[in-house]
Amino acid sequence: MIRYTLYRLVQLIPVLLMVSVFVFVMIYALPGDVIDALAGESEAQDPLVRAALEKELGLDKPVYVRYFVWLGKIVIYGDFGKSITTGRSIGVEVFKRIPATVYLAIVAVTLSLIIAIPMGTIAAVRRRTWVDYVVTTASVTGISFPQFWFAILCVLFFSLFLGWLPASEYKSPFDDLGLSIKHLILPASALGVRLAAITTRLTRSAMLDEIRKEYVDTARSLGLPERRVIFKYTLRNALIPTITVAGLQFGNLLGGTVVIEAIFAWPGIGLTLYDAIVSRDYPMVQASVLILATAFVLVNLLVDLTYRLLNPRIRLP
Amino acid sequence: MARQHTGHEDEFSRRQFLAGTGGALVGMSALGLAGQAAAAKRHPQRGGTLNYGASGDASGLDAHRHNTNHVSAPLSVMYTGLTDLDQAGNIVPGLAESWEPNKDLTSWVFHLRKGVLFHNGREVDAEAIKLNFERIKNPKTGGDWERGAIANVDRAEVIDRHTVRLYAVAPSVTMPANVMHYPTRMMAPDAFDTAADHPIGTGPFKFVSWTRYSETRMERFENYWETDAEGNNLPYLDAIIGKPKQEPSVRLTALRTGQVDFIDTMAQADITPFNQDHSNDYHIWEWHRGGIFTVFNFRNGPFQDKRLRTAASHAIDRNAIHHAVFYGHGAMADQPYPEGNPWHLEGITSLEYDPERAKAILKEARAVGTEVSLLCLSTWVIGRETAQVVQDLLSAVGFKVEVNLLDMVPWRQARTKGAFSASIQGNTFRYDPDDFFGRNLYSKSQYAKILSGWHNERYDQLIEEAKRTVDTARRKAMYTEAWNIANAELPFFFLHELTDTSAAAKAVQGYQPGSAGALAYHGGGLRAAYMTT
Repeated sequence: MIRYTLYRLVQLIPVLLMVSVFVFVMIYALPGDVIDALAGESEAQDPLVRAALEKELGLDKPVYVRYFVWLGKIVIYGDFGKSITTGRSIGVEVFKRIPATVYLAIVAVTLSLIIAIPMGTIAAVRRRTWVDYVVTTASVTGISFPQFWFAILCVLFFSLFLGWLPASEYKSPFDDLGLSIKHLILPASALGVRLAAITTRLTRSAMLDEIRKEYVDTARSLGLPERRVIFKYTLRNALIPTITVAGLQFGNLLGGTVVIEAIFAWPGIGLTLYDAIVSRDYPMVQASVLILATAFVLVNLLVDLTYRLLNPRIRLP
Repeated sequence: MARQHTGHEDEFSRRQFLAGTGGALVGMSALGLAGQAAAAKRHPQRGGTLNYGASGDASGLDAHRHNTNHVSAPLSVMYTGLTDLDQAGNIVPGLAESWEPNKDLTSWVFHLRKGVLFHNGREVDAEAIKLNFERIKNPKTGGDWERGAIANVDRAEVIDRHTVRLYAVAPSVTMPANVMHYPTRMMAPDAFDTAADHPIGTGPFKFVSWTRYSETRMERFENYWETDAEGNNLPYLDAIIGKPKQEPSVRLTALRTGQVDFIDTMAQADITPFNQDHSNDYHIWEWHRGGIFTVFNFRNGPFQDKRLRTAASHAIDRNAIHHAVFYGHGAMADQPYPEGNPWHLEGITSLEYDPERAKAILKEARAVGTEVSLLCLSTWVIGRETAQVVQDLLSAVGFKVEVNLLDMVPWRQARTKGAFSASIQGNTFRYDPDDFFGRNLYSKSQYAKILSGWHNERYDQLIEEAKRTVDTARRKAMYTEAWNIANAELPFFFLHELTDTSAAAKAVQGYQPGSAGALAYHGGGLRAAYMTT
């Protein structure tokens, strides 16, 4: 296991190198550039103004030179540079946002699993009964809801109508855990419900596959209690695809919650990345994507290691 | 609900006289502007912390680089300019207590108020002003909007410690409006290098912290120079916490649940129900923000043909926009300044909605089915909705319209290259009319070149002359003739007034927005607001 973990960590290096090249080059493929964003429309066409700004921002050098300078600063000094838009240190800005994003993502995925695993299991065990139909209908409905609409509905109902929860804002769990949880419930639910709907269907499908296998019949014929057959044996095998998808969902949430962050005024990395793309803040986009890619790969490593916990017979390469 | 109107005629020439003779000092003392903050005392009862639900967040802290809109950005209260505004929107003394132009309006001398400090304790002197203008005008450090606003300032010269001369590129009466805190914000030169992390201004509130997308904290500047009529030091508030909430329903919910005390805008659809249900529970203000209009491209595309511009203008029903986009709020408009404003022009002729006439013109011109690309900025909600309505209206008479929604950078590129047939544009309220009529349509204006690209000799002559004319009535007559030329030639077709509605909990006292939504102005706005329990 340790050897496997080390092997996977070493594999990170070529993966991240490829990601860094890709993201560095792709941002320049977007129409327009940062000079168009910073200079006025007329001045962006003025060759003198353009040349001065390009020199100021280091854009007068060839792309490959800029890439190696950028990479070198990150590897040697841990310096991601400064945001072209805000003028602030990117490392500070991005790493300030990551806790809020990770906090939201962890809770949203956990919530989705807490809902989805029992629901999917019950639906599979009680296949073709009213329980199954209710769960299936609920999960299809959950997938169909536009997330932003559902989020706003939650705010209006739980915050305005009932007055139970605050409408928005992030509070750090290290400052006031109770208040932090109160502020987290609505955005995490808005994200988690849709994830739960997807995961419920997946869990149900995986459980149905496992329930049909011979070892389940064998276990039943040996007189084992049904509860034990389902939860100790069948579910553990069915969870493997579920955990895989949960890991992918978590990775997606790290950079893909722009709408939820905007609605709930959640200072996460999604909005930062979106604004950076719109304003062509190249260093911020490049750094953010690199950091998110690293996080995504690490999450997938954790998922792979979890397989062995669920099923010790699984041999890791 | 109060609708703000300016009501002064000829105010400019009276103010100019006062500024030139020093009568301003006497007048300003009566209004409570003592030059020495140390002599003033803090109001014994008024204070509190205002939680401000803002519709957007700053894109950066450097006020020379990032537009800190004075009607919506909490950070705007950190700054003052050489001149200031009063509640009616007139230009009044700010950091400069008086100013006078030379005879041909090619330079302006500003006499600075003594003893005014930046937030870091440095005195505001002529050298600081000069350095500010140099920084704003440098494309490496000044944002394009900020540079454009002082495009007519050639350079600044220090005369003595408290006197600075600004040279104009071309003779112009607009200088006092251009050096007001919106658009020209003064920052401490010794803190230029750290402006992106900790900006230092001269305003009633000073910077504490900024967590992007989450919170902006400012606290009262104890050495701010302005006082109230009783001689108490302004501002009253101890602190302002700006909380960006982009989604309008979330922002309004935050106000109604007490999470914030004040919101700068609400969705147009929410205004009427909120007024009906909650006008007794909240302060509500409606104010004029600017205008929205269609630009026809003279450089490329079908609207180089006047017949098609005429047909398109006849096809647009302002009333449809008034109801579909603005839910009946604000007013349909055929010019940028609303009724009641001193620059509202009388005797304006504008094409009326006449779809049958539009169809007939298109048929005559053999232009039925002409393809039109209607450009709009994707992040501007009102613009998008207006574009959809205009698309429907133009399609109904025989145009084939595609709405081209682009985000900021490709949108700017499209305008520069003229890669559009028409576009939906907006303007914020301009305290001097040259900032609209000159900037948007005068053929030598860089901005006008990337809008319609229209050129009319007589229009240009009128704008140039109006820039050099002190007398308000004569200027107004020139702008009237100029705008009628524009309405005949149709580089623009003006559609509607932009209004916004802000609201506050009853605990917020002493606040009234400026006539064009200014959050802070001489003796008022957030400078005079306070909280009650």
